[in-house]
Amino acid sequence: MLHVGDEELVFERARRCPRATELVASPVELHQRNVQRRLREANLSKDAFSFVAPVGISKKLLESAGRPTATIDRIDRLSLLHAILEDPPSRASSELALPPRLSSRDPQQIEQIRTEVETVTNFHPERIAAWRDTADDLYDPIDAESSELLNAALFVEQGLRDRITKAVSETELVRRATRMIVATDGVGWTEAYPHIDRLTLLGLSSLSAPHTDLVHAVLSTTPVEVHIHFRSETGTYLKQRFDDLLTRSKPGTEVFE
Amino acid sequence: MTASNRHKLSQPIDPPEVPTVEIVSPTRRDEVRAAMAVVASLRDHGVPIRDIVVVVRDLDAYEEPLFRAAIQYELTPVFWTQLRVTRTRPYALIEAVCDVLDEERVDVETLLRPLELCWSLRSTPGRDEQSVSTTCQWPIDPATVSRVMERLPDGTRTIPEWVDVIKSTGDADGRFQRFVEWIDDAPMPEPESVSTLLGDVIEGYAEHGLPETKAGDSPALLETETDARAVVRVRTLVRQLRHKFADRLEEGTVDQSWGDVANLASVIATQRPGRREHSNARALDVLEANDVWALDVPYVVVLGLTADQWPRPPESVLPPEFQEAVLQGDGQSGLLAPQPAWIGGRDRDQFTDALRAAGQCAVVTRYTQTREGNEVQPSPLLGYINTERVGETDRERLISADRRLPPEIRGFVTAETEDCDE
Repeated sequence: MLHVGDEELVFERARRCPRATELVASPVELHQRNVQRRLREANLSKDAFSFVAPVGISKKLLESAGRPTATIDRIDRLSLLHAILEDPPSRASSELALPPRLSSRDPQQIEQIRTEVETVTNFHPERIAAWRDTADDLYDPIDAESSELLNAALFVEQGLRDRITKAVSETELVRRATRMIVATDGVGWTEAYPHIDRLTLLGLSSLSAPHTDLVHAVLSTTPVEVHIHFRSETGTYLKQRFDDLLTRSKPGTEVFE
Repeated sequence: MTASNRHKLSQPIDPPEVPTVEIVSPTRRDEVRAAMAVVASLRDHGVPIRDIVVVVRDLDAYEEPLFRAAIQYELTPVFWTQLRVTRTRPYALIEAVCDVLDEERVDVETLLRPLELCWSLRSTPGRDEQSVSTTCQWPIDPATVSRVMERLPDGTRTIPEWVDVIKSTGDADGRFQRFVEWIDDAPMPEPESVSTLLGDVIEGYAEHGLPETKAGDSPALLETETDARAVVRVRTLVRQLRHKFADRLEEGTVDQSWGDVANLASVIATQRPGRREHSNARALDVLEANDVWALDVPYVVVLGLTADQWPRPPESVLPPEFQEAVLQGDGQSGLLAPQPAWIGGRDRDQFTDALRAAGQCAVVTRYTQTREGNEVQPSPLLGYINTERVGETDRERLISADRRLPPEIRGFVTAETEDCDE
């Protein structure tokens, strides 16, 4: 169920009960505090809700399935990217042809390209193809620039993976959890969250491809009800775009596999 | 997918249900004063502090002026943001210790800088009693450090040389000797020794430096709180430092030097993880606009409604034409996740959410000129809502010594008080 605002619906489900039956996730940490304050001020019980960060859900799913959850952080990524950009110079410079306004030597800029491509595509093969199609339909030189940014992101993501055994980022954990749900046909979810019958995402100003794919996996393999509450100004638009964002093949699949 | 959907991201926004009052000040400083004067005046009228929230677009520009103005109005602000740990004393102490250890030869300022920052010997369990004597009180008071610093010779020396110099200086009591010997005994930086040594520095500070801060603090204990939060953060930083330093040594990207330890500490400390700071319930909440969603309080004061702050230019590296194609979502591009922030969608959400958080009245403020006297335009978002603007005389009265709520706001407070009387 997609909502624009309407977070009062969550408060209506507040009740005393022995255990939480609803996972409440918000990307902004303080939003959870705001919701908890509202519940407290209205003398409503928090019993029915388990408040989590979206990545916390993925970690719990993977831990429950006995899968590793170790990741490197941004500082590590920048340091590794620095090494990738330097070594070997010839290969890096041919793969990292970038629009003139960007520097292929600046790890922070390269990391931003990587995260933007990840947010828009989740590295899913169908979306990578869609990116190339979208780029091809644009005029020169924007078509080439858009393809260069995609290639650079894929090149450094692959480079990071080649250099470490841990996950490249917490977003990779979201993808791994998504694949685990699909591969176990929802059993992995039920084992991690046996009493949860509802997943609520709150306060969204955007919907990233990684979160879309996680929601897609839950919806297609479990009986869990999913509610997404968008924020008021962007919500009407995002609500109408949601269905188009779902991939036809398995969510969580990566172009690197 | 039709283009009309895309336009939902730029159509006029719905005005909030409660009235909005606008205060226009000449400078940012005046704006901040006006905002704090509104809060203080609402308190004068008996509005509880928990019923007021202050919202800024970006705390970086507003934290310091707001803090100063709040103190002036005897308000205790709590900034719901990342603690800038690099500007705290516990962090400066860690840096100063690395500086002394990094150089072969140091001058007296570098040598004694840690003592100025309340370096204290960590008490070792079991040895406490015998070390408690008048000469072993930590930290050394600033006047003593400064007196000894003046008596010590100029020029750079190695640490062993300084140990000898300090032994022969009458003014420097046993604590100075204990400090330079501690420096002299410091091991080469290994992941393990970095963590032990800097861990001892921060624990020594927690034992001795923190109580000093508290003793000299204002009744609101603002500095103590900042200091205590910083101690917690620096402890975490020292733990991270151990692992990162080990990784970097293995990669060969750092040298085994205290200078590189300090550089790495600064990289870790200046990252902005998602963690927010917590604080007490009797203070005035100051939040960034993104954090206000779902709050419901009677009075909300929103600062910084200028064209350069709100909206802020998007940070994306993608070409605008590509973004536009993804936002339109025609054909294959419909699969790509569009980011409304590319065209100011997030700014619009935050603006609306800030105004909607107000149950009684929203006050929006802005300023019209920079410190250099250049004109500052109002935020275009203000064009979507009707505001009641406070007159210049009433604004001046608000920030005067004889402060008085502007009539546009006073109406709500009076009505509320009357409601309560009935």
